[in-house]
Amino acid sequence: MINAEYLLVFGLLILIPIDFLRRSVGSRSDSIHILTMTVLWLSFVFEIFFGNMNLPFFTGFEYSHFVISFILFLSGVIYTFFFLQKSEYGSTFDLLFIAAVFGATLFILSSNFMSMFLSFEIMTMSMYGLVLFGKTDLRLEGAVKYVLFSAFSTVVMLFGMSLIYISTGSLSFTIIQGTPSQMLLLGSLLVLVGLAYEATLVPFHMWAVDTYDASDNSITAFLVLLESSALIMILRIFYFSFSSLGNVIGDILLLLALLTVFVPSLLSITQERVKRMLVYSGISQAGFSFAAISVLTSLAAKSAIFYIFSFAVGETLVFLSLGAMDRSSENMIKYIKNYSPVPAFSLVIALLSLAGVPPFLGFFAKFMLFYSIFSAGYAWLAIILLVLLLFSVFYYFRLMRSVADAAQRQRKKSPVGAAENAILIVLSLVLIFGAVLMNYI
Amino acid sequence: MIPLLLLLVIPLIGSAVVLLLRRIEDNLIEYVVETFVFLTVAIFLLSLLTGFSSFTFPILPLIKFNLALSLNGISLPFLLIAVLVPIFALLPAHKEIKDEKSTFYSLFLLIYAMIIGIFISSDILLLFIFLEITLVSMFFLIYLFGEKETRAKASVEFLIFTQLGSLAILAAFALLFSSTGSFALSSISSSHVSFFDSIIILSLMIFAAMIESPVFPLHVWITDAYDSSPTPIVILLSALVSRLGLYFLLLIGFLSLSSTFTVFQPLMWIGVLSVFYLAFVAMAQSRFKRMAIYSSALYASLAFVGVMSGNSTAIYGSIFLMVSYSFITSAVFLIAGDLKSLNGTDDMTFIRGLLSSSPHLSFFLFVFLLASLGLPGFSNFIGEFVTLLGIYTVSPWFLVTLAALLIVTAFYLNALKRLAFGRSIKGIRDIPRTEIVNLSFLAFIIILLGILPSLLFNIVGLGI
Repeated sequence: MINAEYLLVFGLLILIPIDFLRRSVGSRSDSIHILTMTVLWLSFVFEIFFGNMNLPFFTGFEYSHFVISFILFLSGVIYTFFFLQKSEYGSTFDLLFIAAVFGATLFILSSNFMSMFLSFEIMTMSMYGLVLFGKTDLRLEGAVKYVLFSAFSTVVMLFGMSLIYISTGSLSFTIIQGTPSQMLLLGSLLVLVGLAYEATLVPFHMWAVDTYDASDNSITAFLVLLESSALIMILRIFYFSFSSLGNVIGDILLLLALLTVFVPSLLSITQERVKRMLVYSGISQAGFSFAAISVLTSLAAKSAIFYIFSFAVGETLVFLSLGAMDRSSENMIKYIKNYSPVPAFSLVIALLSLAGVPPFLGFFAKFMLFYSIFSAGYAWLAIILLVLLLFSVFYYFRLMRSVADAAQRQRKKSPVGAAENAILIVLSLVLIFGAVLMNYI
Repeated sequence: MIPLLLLLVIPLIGSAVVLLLRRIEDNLIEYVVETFVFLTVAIFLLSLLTGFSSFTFPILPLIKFNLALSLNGISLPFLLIAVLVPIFALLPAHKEIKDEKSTFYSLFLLIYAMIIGIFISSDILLLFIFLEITLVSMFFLIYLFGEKETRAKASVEFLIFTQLGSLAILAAFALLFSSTGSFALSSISSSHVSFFDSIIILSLMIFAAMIESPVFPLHVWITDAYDSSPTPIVILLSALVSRLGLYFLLLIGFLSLSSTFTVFQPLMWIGVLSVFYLAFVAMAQSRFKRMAIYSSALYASLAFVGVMSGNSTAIYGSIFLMVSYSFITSAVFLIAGDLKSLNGTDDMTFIRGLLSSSPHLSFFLFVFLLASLGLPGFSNFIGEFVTLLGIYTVSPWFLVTLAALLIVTAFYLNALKRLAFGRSIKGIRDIPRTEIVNLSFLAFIIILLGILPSLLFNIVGLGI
């Protein structure tokens, strides 16, 4: 059986010699990009047909097939979109992109702290370079912030892992059972902090806004995808792998969740630039899934996975359509300069889905989420979250009004290619009909 | 037997077709919209004769969510207004909407489909989904086509208030689901819900109904939202969207949790207070449209009093009142739009002598204002009378509402006196012939319902 991960490694290995040959012949870099695209889409197809790979350090959990499928699908979409938008970029980008996707899939599959750490490193190391592909002057600042904070987070995580190893003598997820000792508790908390940096939970989110804002819109969408994979890893460690530990630190998770929903949604009301507002609100939306993760029931785990899926699709569509409408990424919320019908329409659909308006995917995901939180006995949490949802109505509809204004002015139309429009339409269709997928996960 | 699904699908197809026509032919749009609306109306009328067949299709088995369409005891009168009233909004839409026609009509048909869907669906999650789509599309309509100066404020007020109501409804539905394990109305009404739960559910539903109807302390959003919108949108808002909250309340309170519903009888006094308050506010208005806005809210409050009584006579009366006033309020807003387009303003201190300058308009002004104030022979009289009869049996004290209706009579007659009589202003024309046809149909319906109320009462299932 050829699993998607083998295909990605294969792609990574053949890209380097082929690029070398291409340079010596002197042809354009398009062939490399098309090869990358083929590898990404083929790996998605292989994932659908052959499932996960199963190695000693990399064994999946209940939902890993679904998670990796959607991660591969969205990375394929993001890469294709980037390729269509940018005319000329080097093969470094392709290498970094495939490596990041490879790291993310291994990260989801890892069943051992060591393998988790290594794949986490592959993922984030490649991301540093990708952030630098942004156009704005801020990209260096964004990349440096990303490097510093994730270096710090890996150190913290490594320290946590060593404490776990000292107290249990093993790094496997499966061996750790029974009542945890103090040292194990401390170790796992440190691992949580390390992952929380990548998952942008408040108060570990400071780097995210600048980095996300500085990178190219497609890369921002990809960063969100990696953020959701870190969220899923937290769910995996604290629910699927050692739930006895999860019960002890459940309150800490709840506190993090409430902070993550509340603080960024307040901040995003005050933002004046579209992208910063979207980043803050995205962090807040991710917090909703973390609320379900912190409840730690099987229904909540399922709805959290489904919510993360809906969130990832919605955010990807938001950033891609924003990128299609305007490449300068200097938009203010009050006045959107450029306008193009299909991206504007898909931006509105994505925002509606993120705001939890039916009949879009986001509504069903949120409904499941609230239902699972409610049935786990946390009625107060569900009520607080419902009230906080009204904030999101405010800031999302503010942006939608501005899009509507731009549609009415229609002065400066930005040309968008048919292929880009097709990608946006496909993602919009996923948001419209995606709720049906809930039957299959 | 005609499947109910057709009523939902045809306007939806129309909405998509109109959106796609944007590129091809802009002038065709109005004809296409009319075709789809009249096709829906024809199917509805045909199926009144042949009967409706229900439809069920599972969407999410995990949470037992089905696309389930069927009629229940009270939905047919509401379905009648949902199908018929938008016809009368088409003519002012042709007159007032010049730009972005495809966006307008696409949203218009979407709202048309969704409101029909609300009244035929028998799954409460589906109800909620249709409600939300309606409200969000309404937000875009108000924002895109409202008056330039006030539309931002109006649309945000509308959205914040109605979203608050929707959240209350969603919470109530989620609670219903967790205590009955189903979204289907039939199994909700047959299963037992604990007293405490049903108190919470009904409080949430009443709160939402008070926002959407609207009733006194929560009515503040309507002034800006109605006033800034063009006539077709006001008609949709006042004749259809404002009925949704009370319909939901009837569905859950009266049909499902009826044993607990009577606990809330004292809340009738809020409705009575609201009727008085809105009557005084309406009396103080100098602009015709503002007066119409408050009087439409006033009759919604009267219907709220009837519904909250839990008494079946009063409830049937208020259903009749809601249906009849939906037609009347559409006509009154049509007249308000005409006044504005003919005179340049609808300020009643500047308009006079309509009887000699525009006789047709003043004829309809007389018909609909007299119908509103409850003159026998028109449909509103029956609605008011039966509602008052019902609430009288609850407690005779509620008849103080009659005093408020006296105020209504006073300000309507005053408005008639100001507008119709006096020396006419030069250069005012009469309404065009199409408008006369439009208003005549409305007049026909309200007189028909006034003379033969049994037409509607038999549908509801109560012979009076």
